[in-house]
Amino acid sequence: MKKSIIILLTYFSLIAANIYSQQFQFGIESGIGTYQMSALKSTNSDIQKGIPFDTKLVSNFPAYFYYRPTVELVFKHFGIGLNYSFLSTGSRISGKDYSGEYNFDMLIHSNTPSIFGEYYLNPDNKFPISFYLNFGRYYTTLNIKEHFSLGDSTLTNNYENYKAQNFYTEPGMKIYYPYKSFRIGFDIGYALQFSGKGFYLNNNINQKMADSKIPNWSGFRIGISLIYNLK
Amino acid sequence: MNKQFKYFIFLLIICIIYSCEYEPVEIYQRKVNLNVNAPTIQILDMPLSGDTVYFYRDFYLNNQYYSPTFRFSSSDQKIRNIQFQIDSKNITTFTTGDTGVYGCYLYSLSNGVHNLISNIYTESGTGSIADKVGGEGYKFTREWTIIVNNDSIPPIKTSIINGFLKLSWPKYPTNNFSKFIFDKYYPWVYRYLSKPEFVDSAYVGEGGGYSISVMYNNNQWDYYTNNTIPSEIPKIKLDTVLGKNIITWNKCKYYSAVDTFELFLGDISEKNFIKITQDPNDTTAIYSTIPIGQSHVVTLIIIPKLNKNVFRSNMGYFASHPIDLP
Repeated sequence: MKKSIIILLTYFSLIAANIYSQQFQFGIESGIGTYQMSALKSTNSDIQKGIPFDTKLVSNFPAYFYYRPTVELVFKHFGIGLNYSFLSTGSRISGKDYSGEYNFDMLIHSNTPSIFGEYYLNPDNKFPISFYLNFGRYYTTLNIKEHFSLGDSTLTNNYENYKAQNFYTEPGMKIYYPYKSFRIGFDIGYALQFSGKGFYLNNNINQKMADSKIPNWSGFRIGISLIYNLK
Repeated sequence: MNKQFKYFIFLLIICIIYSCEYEPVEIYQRKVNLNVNAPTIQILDMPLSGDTVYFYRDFYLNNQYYSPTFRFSSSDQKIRNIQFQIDSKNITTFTTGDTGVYGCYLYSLSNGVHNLISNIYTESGTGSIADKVGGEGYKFTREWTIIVNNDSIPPIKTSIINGFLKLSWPKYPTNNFSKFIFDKYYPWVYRYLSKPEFVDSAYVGEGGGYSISVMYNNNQWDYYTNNTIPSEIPKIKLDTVLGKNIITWNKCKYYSAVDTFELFLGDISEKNFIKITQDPNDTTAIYSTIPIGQSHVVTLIIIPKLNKNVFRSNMGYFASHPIDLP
């Protein structure tokens, strides 16, 4: 069944390419992403409660840049392509004075390969507008670093590395400004993570993180892109 | 085209350069208070008063261990912990909740001199990380010398001084000593004494039991020693010379305490006195005839000076063992 669908899609794509194949584009997009990370925020809260001196959550998974190189085959009204996104954010619980220092860092990033489709409303307009839909998978890596020192002595220096994989989809829209062989785009979308597999220890898939915590990359994506038209 | 492509690659490199993973850099600088004074430690309750503490048979009397408890208070900074050491070795310490009471177990200390140290650890009060995790603070040390003596009961010695019984016993060898408690069982005498001696001006040789206890500076007291003295009431004897009965007795050792010696025939209530004297050197009585129908028993009774009227009215005098006349 799946094989039949793939064959059909390939067939129609080739037909469309023969009829409308116009451009092959590649480009890079960058922007700001917001990330929910509610489970990890909860972990921060628990950690902070257990520390016997006052600390501050100086960073709590803030919105941060993402980077997304893209290749796309563009027809008249349709486009299809592949992209790869790199997302990252993190948190830090911090406390420092003359006697010592404590840091609890959670640094999380995702390598995210995706396929996407795009529909151009008005491809001949001066400012073409399109709607797109990404579908891909987050390959998440979480690095937890805990460092505690008193004076010159390091009392704690722990490091743990976790992994998780989850699927997502991202609908959104773009507006372009063509300039010679380039197109400058502005886009806005919302990424929705929809599978909830939890973290596991990097070298042992059977060793899950306590409370089966999961990364949650869901959030808005607002970016600009620079696209080069090879044709 | 070629120029445009180079331009695009250049922009791509710029983007990649800025494609850095998120890294938090902010540090929270905590506020601390460096203007704090050292705390003042007050010892509210301390069973070990003085620098030298003498334990006399306590380990025997208290099931092989002694558990003094202390109560400390700190002026500002909290007391974090108290550690007790005996002869430089940590010993079991206990605390009773948040009342500030700490104690230790002194197990079966051997005879001799021991060194007890209490180390009191307080917070520093700065509020720093080190302060909060116990890595910074003040340490106060208090030290005691403990002398343990689990040997037998020290003796109470008796002697006679100017016709009175004098009791003496070893000094209590510690400076937490306040006074002795002298307890004579009968007739009952209860005295607080600063010196390890007592002249019993009421004793006429009747024998009896004595107990000495020790009161410490903190008004706690403890048993020290005791002694029982056998009766030394003069014995009477009878000699018959030329048809006369000569009754003699040995001189009372404790003559200064005696008011009257009374020698009588039969029951004292009949008042058949043979001799009444207040001279302790007069120890002879002559008795020629024995009334028909009367008892042939002679008894010497000794009336002490102290409270003599009470003694007489209560018939609480001390008497020699009676002898039968022939």
